[in-house]
Amino acid sequence: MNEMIRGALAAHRRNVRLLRRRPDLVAQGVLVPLVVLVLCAILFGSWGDRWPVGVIDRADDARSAAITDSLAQSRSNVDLYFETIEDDPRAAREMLEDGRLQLVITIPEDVATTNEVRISTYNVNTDATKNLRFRVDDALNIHDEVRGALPATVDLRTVAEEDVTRAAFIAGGVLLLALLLGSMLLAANVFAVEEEGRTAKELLMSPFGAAPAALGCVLTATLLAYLSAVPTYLTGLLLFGFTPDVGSLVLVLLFMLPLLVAAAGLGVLLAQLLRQHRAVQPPVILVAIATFFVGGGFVSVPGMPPTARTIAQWWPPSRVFEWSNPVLHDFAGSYTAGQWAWGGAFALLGVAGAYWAGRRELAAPRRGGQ
Amino acid sequence: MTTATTPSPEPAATLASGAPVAELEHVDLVFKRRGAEPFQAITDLSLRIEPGTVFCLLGPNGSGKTTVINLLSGLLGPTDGRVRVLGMDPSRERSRLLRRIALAPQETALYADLTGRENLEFHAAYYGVPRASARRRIDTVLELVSLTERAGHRVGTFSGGMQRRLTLARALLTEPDLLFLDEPTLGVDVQSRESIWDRVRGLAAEGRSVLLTTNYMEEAERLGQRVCIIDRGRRVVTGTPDELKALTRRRRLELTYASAEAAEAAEPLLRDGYQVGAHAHQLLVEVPEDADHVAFVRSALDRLDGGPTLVGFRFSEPGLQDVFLHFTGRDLRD
Repeated sequence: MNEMIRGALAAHRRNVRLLRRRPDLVAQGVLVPLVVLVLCAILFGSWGDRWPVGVIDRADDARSAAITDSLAQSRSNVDLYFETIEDDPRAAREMLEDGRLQLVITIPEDVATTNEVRISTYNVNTDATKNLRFRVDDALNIHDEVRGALPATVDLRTVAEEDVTRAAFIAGGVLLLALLLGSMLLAANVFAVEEEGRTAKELLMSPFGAAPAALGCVLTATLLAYLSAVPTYLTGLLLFGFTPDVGSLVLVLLFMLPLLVAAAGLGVLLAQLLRQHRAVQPPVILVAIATFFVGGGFVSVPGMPPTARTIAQWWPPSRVFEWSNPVLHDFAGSYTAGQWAWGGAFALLGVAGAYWAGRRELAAPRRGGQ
Repeated sequence: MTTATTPSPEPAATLASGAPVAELEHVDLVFKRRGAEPFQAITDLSLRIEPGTVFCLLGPNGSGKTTVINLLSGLLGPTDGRVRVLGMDPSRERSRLLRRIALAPQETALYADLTGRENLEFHAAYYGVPRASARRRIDTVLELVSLTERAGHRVGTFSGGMQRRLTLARALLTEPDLLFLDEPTLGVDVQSRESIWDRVRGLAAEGRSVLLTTNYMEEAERLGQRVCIIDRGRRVVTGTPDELKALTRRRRLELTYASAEAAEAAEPLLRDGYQVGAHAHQLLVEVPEDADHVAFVRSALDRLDGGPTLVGFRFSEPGLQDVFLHFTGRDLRD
């Protein structure tokens, strides 16, 4: 057993040296989460909760001014709902038709008598349109409440009191993605180095074969995944308003430890199967990104469409987001005992998988001269 | 294809126990892959490596040399027959056996991004060399292969010869009783080759046993106490280099001309009654086994009288290359 551990530690030291000199083996685990973070920010407007709208005030009277004020003041617990970027009717119509404006709210001249406002939406997708309408309804409710016309109130916009901005939520999700992806890719890459450098036979000729090297890869990947996630964390902290409580962050990082072991073990298994790190990377990256979006990294699982919820239910990695996001954003104080137990079980599976991959290396096909 | 048997009895075993360090007895190995025809890699192969000797396995590309090493080290198990190495069954006692054998593989399988010393440090730690003696051993083997000066440089900057020498140093780190050298001088320059040969001779002098695979005749001739020629997974012949050379009594008369054109012009003069071939600026004339050498030369020279001016002539003894080609033929291999 001592020799097995010594072999694993030797492989770990070698891996660290190799990774320091082979940035190509580290790059994907660092860059992919950053790209996902930036893409989310650009495509989904992560930096604010405000939606750009056009407000056309045809009445221009005290009543319409009150409605405009209500629209301008309505907000969730993290930010304002709307940002009025156009008030010219023609320009607003053109922007709406071009799909550059999601909503135009028109206050007609006879609003004081009809009590009606008109909204036009660009049908980006059904859910988004529903949300827009809800927001308008809510804003108008606020207006009516002030006037005593409609004493109903709504509470439809937040998940919990501790809700965070969309940007911060995504940054937290991407941090978890960076940890998992980093661990899996690092493990796969350093294990695949043996095949690519044709050094696997050297390992097989040792008394314990390639198993200690496989375990060494798990150790390296698990530890260095934390380092490879630092750029993602800092980007979230500095640009996305991701400022988790230190205690919560430490707890999440601790909980991630067994899961990173599991991810690394899976990475070693994949590398043993696919042989080349260039073959391992594309499927791992694609599956990781898909998991991020479907498994609760982008928005929480309950808020997703039924198909995504079903996938998340049966896809184990989605539990990482489901369990860790509440702790990371302080919606929950800690993990449950069951969650810790599952984490430990996954870690054991990861270690066993890596060990098996190392043993399986003996049966790997050899090319001429090998 | 002719399959010859060993021309002389195996030398007496020098192990105290009388056992060879490695032995294959009637070994067959068939690769079976799903969806492919079974491939018979080794057929009825028997060989025996005596302690403290260099045993050369000589064969064309794809003849099964590396497969034999894989069998002896337990990386492959025989389909049939018996394999014993250092008194152990490699398939069953692999972990114990691997503590006493080492391999310098055919390819310089080193970590190009690590330094020479770092490669050796990893190997020593991974193979369980005691930490207290690892540094000393690393220094020693680096010295042995003359790489002390370059040990701190990345292996990727090493020449092919230096990488070969480092591979040899790595194999020596564990001080093995039996060392497998799989084509150790493939693609290296003359100086590195001489250095590696010196080291291999030194190993045998220290009492270690070496199985060396090669397709260089000169290497087998100069290093091997015994040479086994294999082809297509079958043993063709085994013996000392001299015993093998004696199998083909092909003495030749080499006639040297000033140019290839001159040799070509002289060749028709001998065509009738002689087995002759032109090779660059030489004519190579086969000397019959029972020929009177002086009379043979005189007769040939008489024939050449009046042709292009002859620069010189000499008899050449058969080499392992002749033996090798005699037994394995001239067909190209995959």
